[in-house]
Amino acid sequence: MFAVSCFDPSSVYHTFVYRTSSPSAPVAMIASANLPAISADGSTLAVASGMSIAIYQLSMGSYTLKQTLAWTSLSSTGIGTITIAPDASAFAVSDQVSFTELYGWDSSTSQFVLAPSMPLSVGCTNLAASSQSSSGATAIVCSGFPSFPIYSLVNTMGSLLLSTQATISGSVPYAAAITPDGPTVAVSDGFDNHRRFGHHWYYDRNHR
Amino acid sequence: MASTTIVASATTGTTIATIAEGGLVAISSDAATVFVGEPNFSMGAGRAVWYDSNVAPIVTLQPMSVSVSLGSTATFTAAATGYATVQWSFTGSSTRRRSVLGGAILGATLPSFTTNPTTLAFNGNTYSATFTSAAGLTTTTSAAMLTVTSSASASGDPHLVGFDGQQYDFVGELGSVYNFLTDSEVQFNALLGSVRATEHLNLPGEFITAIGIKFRNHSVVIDGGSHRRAGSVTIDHRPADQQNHHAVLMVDGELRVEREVFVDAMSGEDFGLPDAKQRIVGRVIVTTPSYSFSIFMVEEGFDEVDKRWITPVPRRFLDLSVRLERADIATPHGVLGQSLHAMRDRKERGVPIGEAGSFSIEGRTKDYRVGRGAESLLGDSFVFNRFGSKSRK
Repeated sequence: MFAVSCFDPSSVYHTFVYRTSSPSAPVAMIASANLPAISADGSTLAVASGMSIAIYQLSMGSYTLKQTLAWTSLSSTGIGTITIAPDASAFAVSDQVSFTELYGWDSSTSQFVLAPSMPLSVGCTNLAASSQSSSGATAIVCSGFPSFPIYSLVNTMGSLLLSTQATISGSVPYAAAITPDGPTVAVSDGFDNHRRFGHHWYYDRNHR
Repeated sequence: MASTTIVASATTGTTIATIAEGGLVAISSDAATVFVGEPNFSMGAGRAVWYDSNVAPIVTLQPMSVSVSLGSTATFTAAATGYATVQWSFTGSSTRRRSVLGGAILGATLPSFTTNPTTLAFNGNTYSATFTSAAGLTTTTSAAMLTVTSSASASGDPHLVGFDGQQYDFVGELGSVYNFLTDSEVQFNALLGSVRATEHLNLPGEFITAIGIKFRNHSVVIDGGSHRRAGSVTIDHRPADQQNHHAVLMVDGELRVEREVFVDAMSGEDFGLPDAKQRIVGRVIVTTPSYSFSIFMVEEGFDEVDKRWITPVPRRFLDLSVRLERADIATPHGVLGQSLHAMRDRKERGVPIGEAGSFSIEGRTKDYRVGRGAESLLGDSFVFNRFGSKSRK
């Protein structure tokens, strides 16, 4: 399963979900939803909807809204990027400028819960998350500024513990990817058009 | 700004591989393949590149052999797909010891590599780039050769400059022919004569007044002329008459003989004669696969008082320049050929070319003497003769 978003003539974004084996027509559409992130099996879908994150779950062939999470009021900009772990054990959201929030899955309540000490004071141009390891840790890599921090979010029965397990230095971090089982990341630096999308452009705007 | 993608351990942050392109990235579940959408890819331009660590890099641009003049830098460029790192290496041959020098070049880790300003020690080195994938699979380009063009020369009475850039002293017997360069295919002899300054006084010193060149079964004799006659060229014992300012006198296989007739005034050494000036009135170019010989026909005798050239021209002689055309020439012998030996000797001993070396021309002057008079110009009966030998040394 994969999900994309596109906007209509009124510049309103909508999210479409496709089955990889038959991508000619979407299997679902979420109206007024942008920046989709979907788990590997397609069972969980996170989208930005205004200043909130909406969590949908696949049930009986259709997506049902299960949870709505408010984006931090500290951020002066909207939601910039969302990622969800392949096994939906965690998801992360950032405004790409100043703040990032990490959530873990609480199986006892079947809800995502905010990790402690959120939001992080780092903007991530791009985020990527692994599945949960046998020890309960989900690795989340952030193309932050001026480096690529890799967070470890350990989930013990819904109790979340966050740490930074590694940091990769960079000059203009732009994009990040991580293998589903988490041991390897690919991070991209120095994208020539970075100023159009990334930190410098927002940085200037915020400090004008 | 250079864009790069780093593949790293998520646990320690240790770099596993570096890809010299950046943009949007994705990585396969086994970390073997990285997708990089180059700048502007998402905007409908640019290109997408897959780096698959299970496939060795594929060279898309082989480095080209380069020929540069002494002191210039040389740049080699290669390209490949699917690589994480690149490392340039060089190989230099040691003719005398038949050993191979070289290895990885420190810091040469970009697809393009520029040498330091070349010395003759660079001559004949070969350069190749090894591309390594994220999984450690390697592909090495073909080797490109660096040729540092070098020439030896003799001018005036005569002043010798060797292939190694050093000046050499050589004083022969007037009226004798000496060998300046000899190897299995090429022989270059020069007649040292006095040059008449006035009806009653010869110009002091000895000058090259005639040259005999043999290449395989061909011969070229250049006569510098005298105060009574102009210079001339003889090929295979027949006069090579020339009607045009530039003429190709002969082309046979890998031998080419050209002659140019012109007047190029120059200020020369005055040899103690205040009014003496020089002008080059022509050039004979003899090209073989290993060497190019430029023999300049020089006249001297400008009347500073009357501002005219004295006729008949009182003094005629030859200057010459020999340029190496290949980097892998076996060590020749002869007065100038020995300096190539000196160059390699210094290279092997690590003595920077251009600094004073301890080399001196082997043997005694008489060991290079071919014979007496112009009839000996094509002779080869001297101690260090190599012409026609099967040995390359």
